[in-house]
Amino acid sequence: MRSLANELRALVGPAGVVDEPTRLLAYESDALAMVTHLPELVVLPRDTRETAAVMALLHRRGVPVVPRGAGTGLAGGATPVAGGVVLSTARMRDVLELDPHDRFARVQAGVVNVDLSGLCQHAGLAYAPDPSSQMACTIGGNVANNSGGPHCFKYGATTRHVLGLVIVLHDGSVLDLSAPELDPLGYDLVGLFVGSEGTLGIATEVTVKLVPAPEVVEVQLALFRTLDEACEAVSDVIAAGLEPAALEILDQLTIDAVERSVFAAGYPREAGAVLLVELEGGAADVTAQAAALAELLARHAPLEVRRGRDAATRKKLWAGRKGAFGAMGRIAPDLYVADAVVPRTRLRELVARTVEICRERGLRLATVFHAGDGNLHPNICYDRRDADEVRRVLEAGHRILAECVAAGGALTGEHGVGLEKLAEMELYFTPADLAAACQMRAAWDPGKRLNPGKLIPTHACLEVRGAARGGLA
Amino acid sequence: MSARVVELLGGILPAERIGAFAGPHGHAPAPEARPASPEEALEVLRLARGERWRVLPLGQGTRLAAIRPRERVDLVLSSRNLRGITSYEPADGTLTALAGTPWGELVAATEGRHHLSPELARTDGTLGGAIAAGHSGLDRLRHGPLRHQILGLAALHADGSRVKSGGRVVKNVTGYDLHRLWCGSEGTLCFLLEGTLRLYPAPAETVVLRLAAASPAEAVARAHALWRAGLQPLAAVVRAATFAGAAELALVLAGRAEAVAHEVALVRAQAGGVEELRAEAARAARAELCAAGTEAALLLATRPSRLPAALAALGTAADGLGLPLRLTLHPLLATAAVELPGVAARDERLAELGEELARTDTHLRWHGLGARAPRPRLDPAASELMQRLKRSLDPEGLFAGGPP
Repeated sequence: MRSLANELRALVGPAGVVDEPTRLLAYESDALAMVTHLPELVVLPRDTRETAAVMALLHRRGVPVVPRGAGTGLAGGATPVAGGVVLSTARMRDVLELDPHDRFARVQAGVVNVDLSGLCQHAGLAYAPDPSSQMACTIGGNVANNSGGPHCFKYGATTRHVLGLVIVLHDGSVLDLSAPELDPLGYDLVGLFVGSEGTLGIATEVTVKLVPAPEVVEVQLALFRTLDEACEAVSDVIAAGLEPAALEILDQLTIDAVERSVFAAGYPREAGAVLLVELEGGAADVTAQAAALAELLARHAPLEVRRGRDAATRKKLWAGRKGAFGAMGRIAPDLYVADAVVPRTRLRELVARTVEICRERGLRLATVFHAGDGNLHPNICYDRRDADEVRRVLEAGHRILAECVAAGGALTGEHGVGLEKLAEMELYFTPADLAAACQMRAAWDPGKRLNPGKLIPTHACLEVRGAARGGLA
Repeated sequence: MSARVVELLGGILPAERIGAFAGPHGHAPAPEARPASPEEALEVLRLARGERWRVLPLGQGTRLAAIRPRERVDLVLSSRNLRGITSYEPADGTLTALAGTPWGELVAATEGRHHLSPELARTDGTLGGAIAAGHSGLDRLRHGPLRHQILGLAALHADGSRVKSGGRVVKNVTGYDLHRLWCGSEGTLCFLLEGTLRLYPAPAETVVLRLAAASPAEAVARAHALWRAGLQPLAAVVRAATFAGAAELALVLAGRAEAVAHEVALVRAQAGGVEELRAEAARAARAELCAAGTEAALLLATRPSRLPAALAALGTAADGLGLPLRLTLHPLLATAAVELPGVAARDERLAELGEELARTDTHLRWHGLGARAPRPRLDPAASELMQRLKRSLDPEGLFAGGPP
């Protein structure tokens, strides 16, 4: 490994290789802290050329490669479970092109999401995907996970915003898909790559679509006695054809955590749920939508409705939601952030089931979710030093996913599969589905060296293929 | 060969589900199997694989002009009998239908409640055909291409396995997006069985504004100016009967009444001589815009800022070759559909036009030229990867053709 480190240093410079054990600790997991594994080395190339040289070397040496953005992923996608080298994009931070007329930006993969958003503001534009971790997460990481965020209710997840990519393949060859094509020539390799969780290649450059910043934004925050009432209001908002930019819900334990933290938003003690709705567009349109929304919310008899259009008030109204995850540190030492999707028509029912599932196992649940998309985030409080509690948390997580899938939902809305949901993949996909995924992956990475042990259950590519062959036999 | 194909098909399908594919637009005629269930489709593929036939999957064949003819097709496998809406969940904004369901049936089922994207001119085409052809419609500017509306697909792979990708919920990152690979793959990777679409609320109001301009270039400049001023139309279309003559910019404004009123005022403040169409007149104009340019021989795409230069290059090249042009432009998407009235597909000047335009920073696609259409320029690594994907998913080449 020492000789490999030296060869890598020759390619990326001395600051681009980490091999001291204490520094390697920072790379032993991502935000899924339950699973840790030390990498043998970390390499930080600065551009496509260096990445290609690194990948070619690692290909010749047969070393597994784990791509990593900022390590904010919640599913263990950047955890080097199979050892090998972590390839970090942290030194690829340049914005290569920002074209306000044609409304796109071309950036290196390590550019931080919020930095890109900040740059766009000056041009009256915005980059729409806004994951909760946007202060730290990178555009490359967003591409790997097809990340979402509150505003994806209106604008869609990352895949709708990626116009082009430069990808370094498993053997160091470079795939330039950055041409300004409206439609792919041939197969849609960009669409296939987004959300592939680092198993198909390393994106080094990303061309993203920018959208016009809205003329007017209004936030309405409604406080309800119960979670059920808030969910019912969401169903009516969707059924009424209102098209908010975001629709978010916080439950009682989250409210409690927020109120006990520096993010305290002055929510009343009797509030059982917060519903936050953001409207945006032209002034006349927002005024009309806001009036319709206020009337609709009033029909559900909320405890209180707060409204705001100016930036300071909106920031205050969003503070509780944005600070929710940080605030939960006040109520438990550890938090298991689950992620599942259900049909929006079954939101109330499934939210109630998650509460029950946790209650049955003596677990405390703090729920925050993207209600407009049916994307649940049940956050289960636990202490990682308590082995039995960890077991019950994992069991509850599995049960919640199983019920969401049974209701016609999906395993993950924005966090990805990573390590966390490998076992549940067989709840959602048939052996034939998984075999097809393996066949597709083999075309990109025949040696399965890229992010091994993620996304597809390891046995699927071997045993399942045999089962699937039955089709035409 | 054909007689043997028909004879063997007769062993697994009733006679009414066996037909003949006429082979328009340079495609070769072939027997056509029209299974009425996924199980029947699987039986047909099983037979085809055993006989080492080459299969061309097809819906109604409404977009065959855009597809390069395959070198060999022994059997056409049509989804036209796989039709019906599996589920329409208005409160959830999703619709699932079998691949052979005509687009018009989907539009009728959702009318008044949802807007079906893409907004297509041909309602006889099928859901599966639209997906395989990588369709985009009039509303692309607002809603994006069809591939962005597909939440999930089910298909038969070459090994006979029924494969699902995506799902029926509006947000989902579970597993690889194989359905993105299938969209636009022109039937070279799989036979589509079923698809789920995301729907958008039907706009409360639609207005079409028509603005006259002295030339296509001027109409494009107007559209860009309005865009910079904040206009966000459902569609913006420029039509011109000649390159140098008068043109018309049509703006489709759709949404809540207040938003549409605001946008109408914005346009009127920036331009005189605006014709405003509402209700039935707007509906008719929108249908006309949907159909405009669908028979174009050449599709040109670039960036919005480069569209004026690309148009100038197109005009100069066409003038030099004595080729008449009829243009349908989407100035905010930076695409041009170029019709060449009276020019035969075999006219050598088309190749010269292609060569002239290949020197500009544009991307070109030819329709109706059959095997004579120039192949698109692809990154060599991308081309190689596409070939590997084809070999990996269809190692025996059951589905005729492959990536460009």
